[in-house]
Amino acid sequence: MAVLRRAWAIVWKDLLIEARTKQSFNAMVFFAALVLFIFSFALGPDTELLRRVAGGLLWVGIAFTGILSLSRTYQNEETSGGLEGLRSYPGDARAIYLGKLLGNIVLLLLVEAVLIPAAGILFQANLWPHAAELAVVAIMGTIGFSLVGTFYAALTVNLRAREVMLPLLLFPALVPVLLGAVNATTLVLEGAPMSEAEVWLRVMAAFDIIFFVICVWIFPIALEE
Amino acid sequence: MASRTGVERFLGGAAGLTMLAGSIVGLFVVPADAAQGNVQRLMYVHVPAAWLAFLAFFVVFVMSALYLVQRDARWDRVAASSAEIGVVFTALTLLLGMMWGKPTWGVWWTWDPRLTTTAILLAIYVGYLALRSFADDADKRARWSSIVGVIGFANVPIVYMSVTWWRTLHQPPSSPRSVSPDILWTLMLNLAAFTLVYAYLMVRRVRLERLEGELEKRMAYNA
Amino acid sequence: MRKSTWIIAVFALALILLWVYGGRVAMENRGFVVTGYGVTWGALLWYAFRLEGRGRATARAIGSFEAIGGEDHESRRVSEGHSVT
Repeated sequence: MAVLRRAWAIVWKDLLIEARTKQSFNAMVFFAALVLFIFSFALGPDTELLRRVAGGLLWVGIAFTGILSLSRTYQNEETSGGLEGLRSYPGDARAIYLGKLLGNIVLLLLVEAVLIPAAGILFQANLWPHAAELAVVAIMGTIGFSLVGTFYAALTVNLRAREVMLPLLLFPALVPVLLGAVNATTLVLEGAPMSEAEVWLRVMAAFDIIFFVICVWIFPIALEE
Repeated sequence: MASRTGVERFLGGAAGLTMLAGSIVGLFVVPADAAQGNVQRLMYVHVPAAWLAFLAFFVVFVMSALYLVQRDARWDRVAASSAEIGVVFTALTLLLGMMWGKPTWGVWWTWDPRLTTTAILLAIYVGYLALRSFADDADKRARWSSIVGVIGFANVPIVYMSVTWWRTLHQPPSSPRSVSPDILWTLMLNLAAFTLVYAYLMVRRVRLERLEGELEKRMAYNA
Repeated sequence: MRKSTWIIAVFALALILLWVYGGRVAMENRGFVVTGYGVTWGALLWYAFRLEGRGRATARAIGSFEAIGGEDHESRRVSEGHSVT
């Protein structure tokens, strides 16, 4: 319980800083919008094509935008030396991971709350009838993305060339959850019954559970002096 | 360079000779496959390369886990060596797969689950090696890369399953073929040859890793 | 000549012979088979030589440290224990 209380303190602190400054949120939304625009330009004004690949484009946009915020996960502690600053927090290191993880999930979901409707408008996909299913897919995908992302961000935070290293490590590891999210989103947008998308929800659920256990378990080692 | 040990000389000789025998049998002795013809001879190098790539990454996984438990730099050196050799074998597997795929399937690349998983495997361990090259402190490098070695390997079955589902939802998987005894023993000979090559390269690579660690220590001391 | 030069020469010769032989017996898909075996041997030989080269370079670098007073460092490191790092 003490772990959860400490984790919550970190979430609250980071979200409060974010709410006051909005330094990550504004940049992320703007960046995500640009990514969607570039996709639309690259693929041309063929509405039928755009609608068919909307799920894939959306998740590439989320992945690129998410990488931005992940590499800034630990920047609030930057002035106190990155990982050194985190180590100085009292108690179990797992609280730091859980706190940072939850913060990343909340921030990314907020960005998606803007991004997904925007994608719906740009790609002329009708989202409203499927809003509930889309939300489930987005939440499960975002959890998977943030689980591994928050972990690898801690691993690379004090590294030379961390901007390169984080995506290099993260994207191959994310293949299952991205496949799951893209396929589930596409099926939902096509109006397929939920049972068809179920196999992909299972893939994401398995990924989320396995990596939650591994990351929580190993994180103290990653943070060691 | 430190003098070569007897084990290394023996391994080098044995690896070279069995590789030679394996290639000769694969190219000239064994009859061409009835269905695929000559190009099937590529199987005798493609399949062992793939098996050894997986073995190499499994060794990375075991050694990384051992390092995290015991914190002995020896395990880290073995893991790093095996990862590098595994990357060489994986790249070789993909190249050979393309050369086999072009004449049989008509394309250099297809999103076959095994092919796709192998490509992702290559990306994971290139990341592992890049992480090592960017970390300056020896202890931290060992710890961080061990973590990546464990997580990367734990991910492989999930990647494989998800890619399989992704593909099978679009097209049926290729039907299995029965394997003739000729093909089987040629394959086994080449598998033995590749295993010896792996062992030989490992012995040399681990020694090099030790030597480079030694140099790094001296450079840090003199800095 | 160095040993590696000999090995590369023999390897190249073997590839050419294999190519010519394949032409003689009208081997179908000769290009793919010869390239495949060539790439396999080429990659493994290349990697083995690369290890050799890296080992030699590292040994030379260590040797140059020794030349500028390695003995001295060695004894100091021992006496100071792990505090050095």
